Amino acid sequence: MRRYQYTNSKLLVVIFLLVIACDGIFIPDPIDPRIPKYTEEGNNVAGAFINDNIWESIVKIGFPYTYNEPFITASHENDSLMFKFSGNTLGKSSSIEFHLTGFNITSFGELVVLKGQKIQLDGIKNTGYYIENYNPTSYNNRGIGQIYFKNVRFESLSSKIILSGTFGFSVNDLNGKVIKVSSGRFDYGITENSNFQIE
Amino acid sequence: MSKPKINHFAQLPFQILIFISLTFMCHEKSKAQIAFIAGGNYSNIRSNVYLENKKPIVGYNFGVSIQYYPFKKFKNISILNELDFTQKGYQQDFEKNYSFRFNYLSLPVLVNYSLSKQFSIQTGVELSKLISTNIKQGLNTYNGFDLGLVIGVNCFSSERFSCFSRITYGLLPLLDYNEIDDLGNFKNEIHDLKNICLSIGIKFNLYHEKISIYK
Repeated sequence: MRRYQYTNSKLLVVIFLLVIACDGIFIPDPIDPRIPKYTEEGNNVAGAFINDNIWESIVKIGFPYTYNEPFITASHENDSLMFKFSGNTLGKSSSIEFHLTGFNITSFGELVVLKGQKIQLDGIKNTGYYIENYNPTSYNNRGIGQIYFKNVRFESLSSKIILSGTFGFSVNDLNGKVIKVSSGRFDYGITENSNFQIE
Repeated sequence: MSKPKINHFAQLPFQILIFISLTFMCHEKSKAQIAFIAGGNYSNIRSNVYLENKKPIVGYNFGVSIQYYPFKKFKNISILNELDFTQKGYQQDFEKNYSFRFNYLSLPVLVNYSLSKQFSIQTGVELSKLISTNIKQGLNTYNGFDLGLVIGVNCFSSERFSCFSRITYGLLPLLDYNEIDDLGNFKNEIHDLKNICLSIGIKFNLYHEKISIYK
């Protein structure tokens, strides 16, 4: 009896480690392997250059816990849509956010209207943010550039929306220096319960 | 009426078998000199697109070789067919090393010209099928078929052990890919990355006698 309990607990530990150490599927870009290849599979991965450094979509919260999922908030009242891609740059926590308006998203399924949309980030209606170390003053610096939702599709089998696209923008840091976020790409599988919130 | 299904996995061995069979069938009373080959590869990639910090990589090769002498008047000309496992690729060095290893099943078809009893030169083509890579989902990223021009030399050809060296110059692009600019715009599809490989190895002749296939 005790042996079975020991085996079961070992199995649980293995399953626990497998679940929490899930970093997404990183397929290296064939031109620059430091960032992920552009895919449309829901690999739960994103990447970009922050000037000459690499932003990767993994947040390490102690060993072995990692977190790599995005979060989307839609506000019907303000007609706003916020995408938060969590990650790190050189090991320091950092996130890339996009605050968009004019899409009037009222439900999870309506995210598919983003398919094929190339949205200019003008720093007024639509903005990109690069947030380091959860510093709220970073929201004062509005990024100008582009986000392109190349493919957004609903997978009925998993009830996921596969959100794939690219981005690039420039933003000033807290010292007024330009931060160039370039060659960004993302491929996320979004679920209504874990990654989406409506206000 | 539904079309019969073709097993694509079985295609390559089947083609190789047909090719070898036809080679023998074309020559009555044919016999072939069979050898094992093994050696190392020093390979890199040629590209139009700039690959940062690109470096060559060392791999290996091994396989079997069949050599026969089809021409009565030109006794110093022979044909070499091989079936090799060969590893090519390249690497990019950043803070971390990224190696790209492509494992091919290759079928070189070479014309061998003996300059002397001990020394011969070879040229021909190499047909290759990508069978695996060390890259996640590499078979979905890179093209599965490669064709290369081969030029090489063989020393101590008449001995049981001989050594060879050859350069394979890949002609087909490994990659069909959309370049993405800094802002995230998709540019034109590129067809790029071609193999280049220097192989050096040892050949062990199982049948030591030089066998002609004419009467």
